[in-house]
Amino acid sequence: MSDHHKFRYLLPPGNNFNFVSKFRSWMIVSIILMAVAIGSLFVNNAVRGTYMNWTIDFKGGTELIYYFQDTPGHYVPVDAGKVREALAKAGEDGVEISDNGWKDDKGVEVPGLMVRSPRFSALKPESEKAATEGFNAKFKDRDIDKATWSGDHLFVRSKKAISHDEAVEVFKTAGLDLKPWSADEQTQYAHADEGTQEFTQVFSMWGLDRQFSNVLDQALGVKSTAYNSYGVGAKAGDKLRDDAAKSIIYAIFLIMLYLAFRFDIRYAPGAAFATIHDAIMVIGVFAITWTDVSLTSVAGLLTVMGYSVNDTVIVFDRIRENQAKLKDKKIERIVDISINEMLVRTILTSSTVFATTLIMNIFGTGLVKNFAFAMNIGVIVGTYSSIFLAAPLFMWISKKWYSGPGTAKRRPAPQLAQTAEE
Amino acid sequence: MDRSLKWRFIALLGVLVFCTATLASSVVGKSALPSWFNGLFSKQIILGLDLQGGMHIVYTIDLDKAVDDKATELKRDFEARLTEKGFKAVVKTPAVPLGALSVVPDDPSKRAEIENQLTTDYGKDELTSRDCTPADGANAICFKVSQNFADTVKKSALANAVTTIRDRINEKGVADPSVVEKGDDIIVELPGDPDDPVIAETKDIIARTAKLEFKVVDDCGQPDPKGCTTGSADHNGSPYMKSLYGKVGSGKKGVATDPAALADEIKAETDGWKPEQSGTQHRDYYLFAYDRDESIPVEEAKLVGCLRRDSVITNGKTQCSVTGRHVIERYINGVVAKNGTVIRAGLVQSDPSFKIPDDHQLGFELNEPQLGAKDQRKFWRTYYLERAVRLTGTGVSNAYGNIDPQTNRPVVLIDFNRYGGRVFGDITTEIVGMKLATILDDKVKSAPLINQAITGGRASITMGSSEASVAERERDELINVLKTGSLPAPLHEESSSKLGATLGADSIQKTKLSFAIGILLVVIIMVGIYRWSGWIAVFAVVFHIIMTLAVMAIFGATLTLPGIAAIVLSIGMEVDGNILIYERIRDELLLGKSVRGAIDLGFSRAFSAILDGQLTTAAAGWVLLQYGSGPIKGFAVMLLVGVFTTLTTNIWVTRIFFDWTVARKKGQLATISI
Repeated sequence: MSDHHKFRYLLPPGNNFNFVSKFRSWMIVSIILMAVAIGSLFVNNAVRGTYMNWTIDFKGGTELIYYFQDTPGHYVPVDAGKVREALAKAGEDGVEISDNGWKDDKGVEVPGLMVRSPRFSALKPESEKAATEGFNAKFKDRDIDKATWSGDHLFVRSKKAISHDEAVEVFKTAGLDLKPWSADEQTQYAHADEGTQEFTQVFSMWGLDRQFSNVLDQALGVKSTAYNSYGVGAKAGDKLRDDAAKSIIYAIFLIMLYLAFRFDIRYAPGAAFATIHDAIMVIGVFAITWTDVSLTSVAGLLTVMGYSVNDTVIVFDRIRENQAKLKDKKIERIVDISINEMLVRTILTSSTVFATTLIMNIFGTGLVKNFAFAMNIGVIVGTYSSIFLAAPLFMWISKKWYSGPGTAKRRPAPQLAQTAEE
Repeated sequence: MDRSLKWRFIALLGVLVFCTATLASSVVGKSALPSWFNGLFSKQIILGLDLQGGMHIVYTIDLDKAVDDKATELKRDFEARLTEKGFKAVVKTPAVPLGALSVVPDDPSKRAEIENQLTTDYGKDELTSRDCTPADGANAICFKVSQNFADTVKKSALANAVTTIRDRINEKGVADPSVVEKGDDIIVELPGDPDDPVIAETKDIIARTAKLEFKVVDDCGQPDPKGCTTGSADHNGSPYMKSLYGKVGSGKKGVATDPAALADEIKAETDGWKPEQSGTQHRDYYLFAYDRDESIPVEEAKLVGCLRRDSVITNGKTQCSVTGRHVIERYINGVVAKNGTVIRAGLVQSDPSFKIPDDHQLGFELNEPQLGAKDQRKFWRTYYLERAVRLTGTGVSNAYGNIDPQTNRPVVLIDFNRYGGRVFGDITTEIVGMKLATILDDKVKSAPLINQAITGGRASITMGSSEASVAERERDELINVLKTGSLPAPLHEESSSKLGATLGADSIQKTKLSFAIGILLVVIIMVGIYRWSGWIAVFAVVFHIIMTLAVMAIFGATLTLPGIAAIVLSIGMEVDGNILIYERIRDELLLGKSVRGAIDLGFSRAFSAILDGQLTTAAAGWVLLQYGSGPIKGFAVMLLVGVFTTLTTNIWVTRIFFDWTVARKKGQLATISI
């Protein structure tokens, strides 16, 4: 009757998809995926040593301040983006770069850069392992009693001495750069302990500052010098982690409480489950893809949860309305009709948010990219969970507890729903 | 156009103009705007460290001082305990080794008993025995603060320092600083323009130890190991100062007779008084010396911190301005490099009797020249102080500023807490007729004569500077530091650098670009589907962003990356709200409702969904704000602001445009572009 309204449709009107009939399958798939997500944390812990790829925010690391010179005494500014690129190419994860300027002793402005890396030493676990293995293999004939790493130093106790020159080669194949021995060290290491007749020798690697410096010199074509480098503790300590966990749990409870009062109690578990599901999925994807987890990722996670709750509540709102309107229909139909009615809106909203954050993911760098990545995953799982998990879970709870077998219509639809009507 | 719509439209315009004006100074900078405008809209968006950068300052903290203070505290504790048990002994805190204590019993036969008592009372956790040195005296029982306990003291001092620094920055009103420990150092990051005077002032306040101490000025003629009190027989000046006075000499016009002192313009003087109550003659011998510019050896220049890379060095000497304090210390103790080499000999090197006794120290007071005095240089005078700290800043409960009606100088009034008031009362009772030195950060601020016991629980510190504005700033700083408490140990600024946005300047540029493209995509999607109504939604998004930022600026919240994340979320929810409304209007139109009726119904039906969505978000935001910290808090604040602006734009702003579209056609509208 209203053909004169010429709407542009995203979907042809009157869509009628079946969402809830396959509820059990969706639920099983989701639970399996959640298990995989959680499992991936433990896999990471077993394989890589930590649950997630924590950045310097969470585990601390090293802050290095560099300045750059094209000719001695002449400072040149260097684009932070290029440094980030160069270090990323060299396989450095979770590096953050920012400008850092100061005045030198002569009062000349020095345009420097601060590099924050989650690494504490020049050694990566894999290179440490490779070096130890190579070392033990090469010097089998020296009767090595003990070879242990401490920071950038390898402490070796052996029956026969190992010369510096011999060791250099071994470390080089493992990608490590050995520091020369000082005169004192040379004499000290050349003599065996009188009691045990063992040689104690220390092989020290060049630190992170030199390693990064080498990478930067090659990539930028100017001389980089580490002005300062020091280890820093985690910015986000245990307190922040506990606060975050506590506040998220409280927030979910408060949302459940709100839904229980404003809708009714059947809605609450669905929303909570969907939100937790989305959070776990995002965490899982971060864990599996070994993406950096910084404070910004935490903000991303909160955003995903906020989005998910909002999406779910709006679908619930329609179900509530339809429950009052379509009293003679079965609850499955009501949920299906509601989701179908909301489908255009759901797709439109999620696609605008997805498009915006996808652009941020493509064009953004560093932390912003990280946030956008969390959002991209979050929008997909958030939309999925509202339609396929939250609403059907509500339906399931309604059927299970609100209507026994054979008394399908014993309880009327909740009267609260009337408030939505005029 | 009906009246209500007209007024709503005017209100919308007003809000928009107000918000834009609020943001103007943040966008183009205050300098580009007239001053009356800046006066009206003074609030600016505060950007966090991640977006704006700021100052990066590294402080080292002298944690040994904290251990030293612990030893002093134990000394007082020892004294109380020994008195309680009926032992008579003198407790001292020698300067070396770190955290040393020695107890010399009056009756040597009681030595073992006292040692036993103290070791059982304190146990191995706090104290360990150490070998006595000749300086400890015969029969001394020697302790030092145990290594473990010293480490604990250092650790808690460091944590305490971090909290105090954070408090001071907050008191100053610099938002969202970052204060972290790094080994024994503390790194402070202050967001904001490093050239802003507020940043410089904040830096000053941070480094103030604000160690307030009260020590007794010793004028007793007989060395009294238990301290000089009113009851002591002879107040004719301490033997040490008397001999120092004699050495320097006071010739014509008070000029020194000792050539070394004369060369450095050090003068010796006395100060005498006779309190009415006791009638005892008091005499205080002291030295004073001017701040001066002189050529000093390079090693010495290094020690006083005046050697710079561009310093001109001739014959191993360089030009420096040295304080009178340094001049006097040098005259007595000589200049000794850290490795023990004597760079310049002082009195101590030739005559060990000029070594200041272990339980005493020299306090220095900076004096401004009096108006009209011939010599307009600043000078320092000495006080012969007991080493024991009688009361510290922990006894202070509050501090506030005032003007001394007599001298017209700014003063800081200190209220003591109950403990402080009692101790202060005890001290002043003990030393009526003598002087009590108020020492702030190792400088004697004042050493007034105690005419009678002060039991009112209040004291005052007069600001030294003669220039009113400087004195007032000094006073405000002092109040800040006294309120936030003193640092457990002195801080030294090791380095200070300008920090760019921690996010990276390039990153911010790219983020801006992607934000713009993102908005463009929203325009394409919304206008593509909803045509004219899509434009309304786009306007709503723009309004939403402007209003969110303006509200944030007005409340003085700091914008950080997590905050931007929350803004992105709230924009998403706002667009969602518009989509909900539009879909409802379409539904109603399809049911054959009139345009006007469809709009009315569309808004009212969508309202409950929008409200529920926003209220759940608000509930979550509120919880995050209550329990979260750092970035979580930043996120929560913006989320709550977003809830407010989303509801406003969805329900109010969008509605105005639809009503306007209908009103334009005077109700004859058959369909709308949606």
